[in-house]
Amino acid sequence: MNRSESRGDASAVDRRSIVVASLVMVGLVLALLVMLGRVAQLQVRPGEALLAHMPNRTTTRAEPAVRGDLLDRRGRLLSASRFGYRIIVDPVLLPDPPHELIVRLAAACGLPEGDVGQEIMGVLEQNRARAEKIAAAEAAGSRPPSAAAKLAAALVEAKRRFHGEDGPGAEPIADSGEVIEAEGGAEPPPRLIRYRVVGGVLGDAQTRAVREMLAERNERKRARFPGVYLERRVVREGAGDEAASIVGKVGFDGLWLTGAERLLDRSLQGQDGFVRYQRDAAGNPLWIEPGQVRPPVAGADVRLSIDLEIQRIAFEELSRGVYDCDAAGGRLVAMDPATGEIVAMVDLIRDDLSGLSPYPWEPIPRAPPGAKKPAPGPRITVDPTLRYQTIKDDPNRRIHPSLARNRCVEDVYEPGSTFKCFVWPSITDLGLARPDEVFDTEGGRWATAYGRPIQDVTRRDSMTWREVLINSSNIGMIKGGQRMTFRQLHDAVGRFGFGRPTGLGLPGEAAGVVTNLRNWTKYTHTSVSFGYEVAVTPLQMVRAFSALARDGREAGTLVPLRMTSPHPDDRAPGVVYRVLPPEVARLTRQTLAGVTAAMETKLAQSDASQSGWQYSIFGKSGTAKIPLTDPPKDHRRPRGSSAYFDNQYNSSFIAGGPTESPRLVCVVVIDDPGPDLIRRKVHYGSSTAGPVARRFLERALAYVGAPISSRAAGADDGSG
Amino acid sequence: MLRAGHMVALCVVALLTVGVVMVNSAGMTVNPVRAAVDGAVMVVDTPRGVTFESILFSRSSVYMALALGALAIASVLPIRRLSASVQQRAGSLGVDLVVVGLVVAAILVALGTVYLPGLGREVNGSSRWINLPVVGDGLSVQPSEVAKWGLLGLTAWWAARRGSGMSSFWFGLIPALVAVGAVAAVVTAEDLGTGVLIAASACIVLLAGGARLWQFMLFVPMGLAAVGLAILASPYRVARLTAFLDPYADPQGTGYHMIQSMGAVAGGGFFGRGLGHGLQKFGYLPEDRTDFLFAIICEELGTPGAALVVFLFAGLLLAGLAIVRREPDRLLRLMGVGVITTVGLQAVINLAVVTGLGPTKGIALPLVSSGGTGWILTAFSLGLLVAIDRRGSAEPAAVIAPPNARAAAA
Repeated sequence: MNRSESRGDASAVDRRSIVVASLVMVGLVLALLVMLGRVAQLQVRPGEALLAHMPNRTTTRAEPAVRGDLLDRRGRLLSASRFGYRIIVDPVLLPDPPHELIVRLAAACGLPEGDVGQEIMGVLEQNRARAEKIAAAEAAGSRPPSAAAKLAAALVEAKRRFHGEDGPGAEPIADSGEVIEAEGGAEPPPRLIRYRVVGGVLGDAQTRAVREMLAERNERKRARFPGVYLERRVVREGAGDEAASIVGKVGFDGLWLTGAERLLDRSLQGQDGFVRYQRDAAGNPLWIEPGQVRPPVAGADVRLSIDLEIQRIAFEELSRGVYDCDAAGGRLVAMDPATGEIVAMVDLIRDDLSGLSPYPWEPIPRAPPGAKKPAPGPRITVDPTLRYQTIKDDPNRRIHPSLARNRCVEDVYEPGSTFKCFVWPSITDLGLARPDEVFDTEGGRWATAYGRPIQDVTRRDSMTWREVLINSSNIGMIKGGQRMTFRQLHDAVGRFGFGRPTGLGLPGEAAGVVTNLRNWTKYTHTSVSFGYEVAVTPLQMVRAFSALARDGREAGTLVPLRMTSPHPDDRAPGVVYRVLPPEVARLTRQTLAGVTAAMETKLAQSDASQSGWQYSIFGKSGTAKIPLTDPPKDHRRPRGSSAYFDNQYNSSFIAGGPTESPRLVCVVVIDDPGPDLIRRKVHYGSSTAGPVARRFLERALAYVGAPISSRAAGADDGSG
Repeated sequence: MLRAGHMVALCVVALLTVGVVMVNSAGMTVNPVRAAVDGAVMVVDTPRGVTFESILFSRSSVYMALALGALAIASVLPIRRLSASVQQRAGSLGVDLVVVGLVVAAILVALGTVYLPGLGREVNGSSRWINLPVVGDGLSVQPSEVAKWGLLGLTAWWAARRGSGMSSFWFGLIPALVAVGAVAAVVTAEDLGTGVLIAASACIVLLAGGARLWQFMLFVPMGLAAVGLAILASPYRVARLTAFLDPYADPQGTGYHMIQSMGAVAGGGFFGRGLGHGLQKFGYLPEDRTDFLFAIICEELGTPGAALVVFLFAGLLLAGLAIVRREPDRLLRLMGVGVITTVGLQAVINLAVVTGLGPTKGIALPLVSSGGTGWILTAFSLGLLVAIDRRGSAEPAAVIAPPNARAAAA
């Protein structure tokens, strides 16, 4: 090859290398730009499939707000929250065999070994069954998991373990609800149970014992009892049984709220906060982005109108009364007539009463197919000598007393003669009877114009209108009532607030029953005159009665009831409306003072210790047969039986004091006094509920610092 | 005036800086947030991450310093004299063949060291590293890096020596291809990606050096077949390939890596989560500091950050091309082509893998992905480009007229 050729070749090679290099570089730069485009594409429009596999990397943890405390009117604690711990186990991590754990755990938390053992062995057994199912499903599955899949599974497992292990504030994971993604449409195998609660919330000493036990290490420095954890929970603790039915109860997660806890829930609950943090692949928290923390706002404390001391007095006196009368239960509601505040509310049911029979409801016969009329069942008779269960069964009460129905607001009764203190002033107010007008009381036995027989307990030929109330003459009241039109009596009952809820706000409040005007018959008219054919709650009674207890311009007015003590921001609880003119209210009160005076005299005769009262009170007794409760499903009242329990009564007493300037009013209902009292005819309100009201008011008025009554003091002087 | 060589050096410095910052970001640990709920009180520890000091005294900063040193040293080498000395005499084919054989043998021996007990180090199931007990806890060296640059030098030298003889099939192309094939095959045994990369770069050098395209094409099916065999011979390569084709078939298994990588790229949106605020680096994305660092860059810095890296590489390639185009010396030109091709190809492959456009391979992003010897050798190689440019500037412009102008004159 000659030189020029070689040069030419060389330059050709050179040119070639430049071209190749340029092409390659242009290609590479273009490829780089394509990559950049791909980046932008992924960032701006990631595909659905990719998004589906990119779950957010955050964990949200709820920070529960601390519930406000319930206080009594003087700031004493009725119900408060504290943190408590309960034991949870992760059965997968539990030592095997778990026997030592069971023994130690039972000892530490003071539970019977059998209970703990049953729980733990039970969940282990469940898991064993699930593991078998999982193994079967895996065997049926197509391919054995690859190493990478195992790694990923281990990662997932680690994440889940983290959540399970985390103690305070962690959201509990459902123990079985989660399901693995179904592969190939076959029914997914169950997951192993990783969370199980053992026992309830522990006490402080038990928590300490369990904590010490969990801190123990074995010889390899590993936890001696793996898979056992303490979980923090908010626990609500109340003052005690005395106030249980008003205070109510809070369940876990705010469920099952009853009583004042429910009434005031909005104020008490506060606002839950949260922490949302970014987490790494193992689930560990990394950091919190701005704005991803909301601290919980604690709930406000609420002061109830309840006075814990008056509540205690009420509880003691009512218990005494119920046991004295061998009654099935009792109810007491006390309020401050000036403000309408409920200061005490007790609902008592005796659990130790034996000898109660269930009422013989008759099953409704079912027509056999083909036959037109069902064959009548065997005849069921009501045995008047038996003592039937008159208080409606309450399954919740068996769980906890504070879950029970509050019978002071939820259960109605027929008020009987106590109702006369609303009918009497209404007649008087209308000018249909003057206080000293003489009524023919027919010697205590009489029949109405339409032939309904009426009897009095106190049998006299004649009484003044005032005596009609004092002696509780049914005949006198009916005759007075007959001077009213149907509408007048119906409206009077409604004006006192009967037949509609009081608006107190406690859950489940009953409105009571007042016959409407269209169905109001002369029979109704007669019945209502002396307190029958109306159904009232103790709460309604005490409010209506407070109209009589107020003085001055407020006398005869109805106040709204309230459950919370006044707050400076609250406007003074106003008067709802006027029920009676003040002078009629005062007159009625003075007349009712005569009722209690008579009762006190009688009481002192039977029991000398029950005398020497410092406060004069006014009140009215009542005794009424107990209406049958609603029949259970597919049952009815036996044929020929009445709508009432034949020989069982609600004895009640409604009272207020001191008479001169009332500070408290109360209603006491003794449910079903014992048969012995009925036989001796001392089951009446003045002998059963009366003493309870008398003693309660005496102690409670002393507690609130009411001035001692001059009249009572004078009487004391006279007798001494 | 800013010359192409300056551009190359600046791009190297910029890429290394991005690399150091992002390697530190990806390796960041955070004190866990502690949120205790005692009543309404919440105690939150402030996270402590990467600081300026921690970056300054990090291992990667040391490597960056070493890499810049290598760049500086390479750029002042008397490269033209060296080039002239190795091309001095018109080559006798026999001697050259012996030289090629010796160099290939040396490379193969170097590659074999990874299997030496006590020296080799196994990472992720493959032996790619050796530990040199030089400083502190030792220096990890990837012999394939040495092989990569060594083979480039060898092919460039061969092509330069052969000159127009490269168009000869038996005496131009074949010996070089045999050398390339041998080295690539041995590298492929442990690292398919690097093997392919080495082979591709070397082939481009040979093409640029005058090998005939049609002759070359004869061997393309053979190369592809070899790659196919290499894939089929190892189950994990098959798995990577199937995962690439459908990553969502086994998102927790074989597809995991790819999904996490694409998820990282997509996760931050167009503007990214902000420097240091990536999430994928906390255990979700494996190899986040090395081969998949670009995914973290995309997650934290968004498209602007990705564009920065892409433009730096593009600038590097174009500046390199400018240097190569002006270089009259054939050996130096081919060397330059080899260097920029290797760097560019490696970058493209890495970006393709990270963005889910290619199957997972063990190819790092040059000068950015955490690496010691990789950074140093790459910087050294690019330093040679600077040296070429520096020397070229000292000569009159007329002498280094563009080849096409010269061709026109002829």
